[in-house]
Amino acid sequence: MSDSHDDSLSRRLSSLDSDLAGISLPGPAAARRRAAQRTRHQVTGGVLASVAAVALGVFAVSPPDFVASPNPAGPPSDSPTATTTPTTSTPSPSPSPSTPPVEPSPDPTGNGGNGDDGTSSLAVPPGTLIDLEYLIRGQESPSDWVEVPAGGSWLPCMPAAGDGAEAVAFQVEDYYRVEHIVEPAGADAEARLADLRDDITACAEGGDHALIQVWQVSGVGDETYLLAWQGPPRTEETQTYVEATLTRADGFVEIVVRGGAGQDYNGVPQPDDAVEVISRLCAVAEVECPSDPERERLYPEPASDLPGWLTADDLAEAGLTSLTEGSEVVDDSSEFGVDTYEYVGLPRDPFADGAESLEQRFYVDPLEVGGPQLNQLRAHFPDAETARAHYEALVAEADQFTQEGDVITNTGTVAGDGDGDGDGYEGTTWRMESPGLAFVYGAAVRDDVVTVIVYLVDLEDVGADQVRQLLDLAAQRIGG
Amino acid sequence: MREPADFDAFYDATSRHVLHQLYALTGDLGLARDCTQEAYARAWRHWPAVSAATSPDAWVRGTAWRLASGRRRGGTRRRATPSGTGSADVVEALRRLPEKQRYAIVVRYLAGASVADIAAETGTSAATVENRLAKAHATLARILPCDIAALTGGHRV
Repeated sequence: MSDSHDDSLSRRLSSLDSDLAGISLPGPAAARRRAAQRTRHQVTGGVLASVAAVALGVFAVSPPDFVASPNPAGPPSDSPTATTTPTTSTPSPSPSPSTPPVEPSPDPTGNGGNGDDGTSSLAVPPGTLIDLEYLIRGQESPSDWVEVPAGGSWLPCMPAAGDGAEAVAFQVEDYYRVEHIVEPAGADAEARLADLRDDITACAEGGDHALIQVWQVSGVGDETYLLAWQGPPRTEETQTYVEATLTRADGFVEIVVRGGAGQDYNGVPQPDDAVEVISRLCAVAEVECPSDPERERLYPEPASDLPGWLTADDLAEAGLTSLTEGSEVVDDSSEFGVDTYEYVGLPRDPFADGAESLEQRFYVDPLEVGGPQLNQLRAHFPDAETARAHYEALVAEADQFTQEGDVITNTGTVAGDGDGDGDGYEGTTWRMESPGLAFVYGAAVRDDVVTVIVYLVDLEDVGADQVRQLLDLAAQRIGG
Repeated sequence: MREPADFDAFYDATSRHVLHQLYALTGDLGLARDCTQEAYARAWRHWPAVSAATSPDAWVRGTAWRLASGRRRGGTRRRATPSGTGSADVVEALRRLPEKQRYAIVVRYLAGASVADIAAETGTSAATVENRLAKAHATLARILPCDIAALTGGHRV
């Protein structure tokens, strides 16, 4: 390649910097906050979206016009004003009238206080609504939250409050909003929660919206769900991202919805709002409510264990307990498929050795998008002899492979009798140490399949015993 | 013991470059920005290990790229290249490269990484990286021919 071409390419790539003119990242303090308390749902993305859009000159409407019907921001307050909200989901152009809180029942949990209809004597006790202190808790540079009238939210698919509900809302300028509604549903709480979940799901899956994730949370309240979706208001560069916490406890249904303009949805919904609102309810009731939230994703539905592949239990048995979710299988004909093992330490080309197909599956931590992952590949050969010949050649090349700066170690073998009818298996594992990083990997053969596993040791080491165990299990799974 | 000052200095010194590289890799400013910031957040969570790495900024770039790739594989819709930007043709040309070629070319020519560093970072051989760079070069030369302005320092003749 000519130097002039290299220089030209460097300049063209460097010229992309012009697109970043006037755009700044939120800064290191924001990154540290995001790391320490991603649960607080940082709103920096929204700020950035506005800055970026203005800088690019692509904002179709100015920020004040971005929101559908912004409510005027009220003065900051440390004690939220409980507001009985209208029971309609139609955004109101004007602030909802505030009404005095409903007289609290003697038993704030509602136990023993329900009438036959489940709600007649149940009222929302004071102190259950979130406040500014919660929103900025632990933040080194708190966002400029202000309390605003509840109701009339511009967040898409915002649920309507039920009878007797108390609500509060806060905003950061006009682009980020959080709503909290507490409903005294009594004996109907379970049904009410189901209705809310159904209504939000239907809305988020319809029209101009898109449902992103749904999680069920155990260990907080009697029943808890987290939902994330996107929808209008949107511009060419931004749209509105929303997360909702739906939970119930002792006859009360709690709804926390927060969202605003952003660039993209990032990460997994956090259970902190659920923990906060349930703890507030319990504090009022003077009862202990230990919180030990465990999330399980309902949507998109996780791929289950597949015949022939490592299972979640296999990975847990080998110590990779966080990698609980396997991807769909991609083959060599798909857009993201592979046509080699794609790892330098396993240099043998399976197709050159007669493989008929090559499939790949990833195993990841569903709670850490983009985090560590284990890759497994399965090469299918026309017969056992061809597969074994490839395996032996692969092992020979892997043992001989060298690369400047890398230290490669053969870390052992595995073997098994299979089902005892001549379909035994064998495999070999290696570790490659490079400056600053390490890979562990292995290959095994059984019948007409060669399987390969590759794991980049990121921040937590995976020892030779673990890799051998993983490969042994992978070999056992061959054939289903 | 984590020292915020060290992390902050690292962030200030590198984040702009990482953002630039992620934009080149994704062609999507919003995605690049969000994944870059998220990657730095993760770097802070694991700062003792990341700061001890041979190349912490490569760690951040790789993490950000994995996040961005995961989003696209997860079906996240991509937004169109912002119209009116002077580099739209470069962004579009990069998008037409296969992912691994794009990563090699951007890291080589924007981050200034050596072929050996890219090989180590991506778990592949130096020869493979060279091959990817050559293919990417050939594709870009076809897509962006007669780059006279760039060759003459920005003055069209």
